[in-house]
Amino acid sequence: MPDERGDGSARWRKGQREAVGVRIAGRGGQGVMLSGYLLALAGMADALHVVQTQSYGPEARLGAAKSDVILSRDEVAYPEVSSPDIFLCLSQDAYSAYGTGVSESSLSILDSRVEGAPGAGSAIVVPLAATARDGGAPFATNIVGLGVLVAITALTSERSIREALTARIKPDSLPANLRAFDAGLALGAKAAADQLAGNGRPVFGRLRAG
Amino acid sequence: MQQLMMGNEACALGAAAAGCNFFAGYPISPSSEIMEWMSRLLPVRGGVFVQMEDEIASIGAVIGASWTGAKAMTATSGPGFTLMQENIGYASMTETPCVIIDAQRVGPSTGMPTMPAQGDVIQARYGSHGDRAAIVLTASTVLDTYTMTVEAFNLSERYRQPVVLLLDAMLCHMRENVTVPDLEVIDRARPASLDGFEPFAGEEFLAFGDGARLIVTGLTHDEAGYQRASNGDTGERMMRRVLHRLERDAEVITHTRQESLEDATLVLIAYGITARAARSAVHKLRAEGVSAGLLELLTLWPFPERLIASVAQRAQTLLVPELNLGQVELLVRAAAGGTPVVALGRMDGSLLKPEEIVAKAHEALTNAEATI
Repeated sequence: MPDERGDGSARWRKGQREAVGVRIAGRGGQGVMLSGYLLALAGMADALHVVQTQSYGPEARLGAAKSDVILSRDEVAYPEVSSPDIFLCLSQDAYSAYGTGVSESSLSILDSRVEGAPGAGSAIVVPLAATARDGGAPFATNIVGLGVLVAITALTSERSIREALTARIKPDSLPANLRAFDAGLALGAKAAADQLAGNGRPVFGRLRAG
Repeated sequence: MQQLMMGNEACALGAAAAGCNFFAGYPISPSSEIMEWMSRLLPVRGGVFVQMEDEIASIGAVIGASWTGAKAMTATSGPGFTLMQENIGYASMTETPCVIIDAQRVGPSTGMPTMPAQGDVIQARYGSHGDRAAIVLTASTVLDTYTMTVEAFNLSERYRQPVVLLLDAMLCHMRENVTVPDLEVIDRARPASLDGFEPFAGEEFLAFGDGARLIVTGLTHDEAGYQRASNGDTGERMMRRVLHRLERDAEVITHTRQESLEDATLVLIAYGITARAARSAVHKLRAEGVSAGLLELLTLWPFPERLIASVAQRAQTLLVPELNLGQVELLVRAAAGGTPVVALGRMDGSLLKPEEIVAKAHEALTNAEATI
């Protein structure tokens, strides 16, 4: 699949969905707000309509926090994600707090230390934190997660995420974050091949409409 | 160019675009980012930013700044908005153009500081004692937040009145992609001549130090500004004059969005963040074959009662979802004639979901059939 910017709507037309709700959850401080923001920024660059909301109370600072992003071909009416299509979860406490909306049709991307609830849709379990740590950037678990999410779902182009990172991350930590994103892409591609039926291509087009 | 923008940021950028050059405020969730943004935007543009000791002082400073000719704004949330009420009455009495942003959160009192609500609708109109002319706007998208902030300034400058813009915790902290529009900016009219000029006779505004002596008082006064505190006739005449202007220009002041109303038997009347769930509910109901429509109110006061009366005449049922326990429902009921009005309210800090509105709509339709 070509990774061209601005082809968001074209790529989306191949899928069945008009809009996709993504929830990113983790411990306050893991960068869930930032990764939600980057995903929204990349979606916008891909000519999609985006709405991004996030936890705002004290939980955003060390408690369980979430950031919700809706990516849509059309204007978004209702701004909240009630039941996420994609649930990226970085910590167990965040799963307990925000995994409640996960349904049969959700696809969860879980760090390997997170134990998902049985029967909660399909799940891909990947060592997000370990990959970030092994890459020398333990702070970039969120960005590894973004890489996995993009590799598996192709919700935005890879290029738009890299541009969002370049625009928003301080220069001294940008290379580490870009490496973390690439590591996430590789991890996601491998996980899709190993854990999802099929050939590892993005599963977005296979998500059920509804 | 598209920007990914937070509601509070859009509000501050809208204020700057409208020519706001004075901001005084006291930080409070969920409005604080408006203040933060104004502190960045104003000084580099030659404007003035002041963090005051509280909300009473903030609105006082805003009124004073306006009388020096500044386009002035403050931003707050429920508890601060309540504190500002006496001075909002003062701004109304003294015909002072200014803008008050109220980022609504769950009350009463300190309530739930980070959770959205729409509980300040009646307060925005009747929070200050006495009858007065009031202009109250709201918004449902980040783009709206920008445009309605500009509109709040325009209306305040045009009618020399405080204008309130009601936002909510969700909209304030939500990000959407926005292409910033180029909007018309209205500035207060200056008197063509100072010969025989009476500062409270018309819509022209003369600032302090601009060539004439002015008396500005919260006591009832006449067109020249002289106190007429024991002359009831003067006070009523002065207030009716402002009310008349708003009545005369109701069409211009009243902003709405209307969707699928032509053949709608069930009409949702919604505003602010809840209008988005209502829009989604209308789409779902239409997909089920229910003739539903949406009247979204962007101007809450002056309340568009004539429009609602005409919509009610064609509809079988009106449904009013809102994040309070029936503030706009009460007003709709008064305007609806004999058409049944169904309320759907909550004040627990959650948004109303489209599915909840759809369920309530079905319940209302079933009850309507049972009645027939």
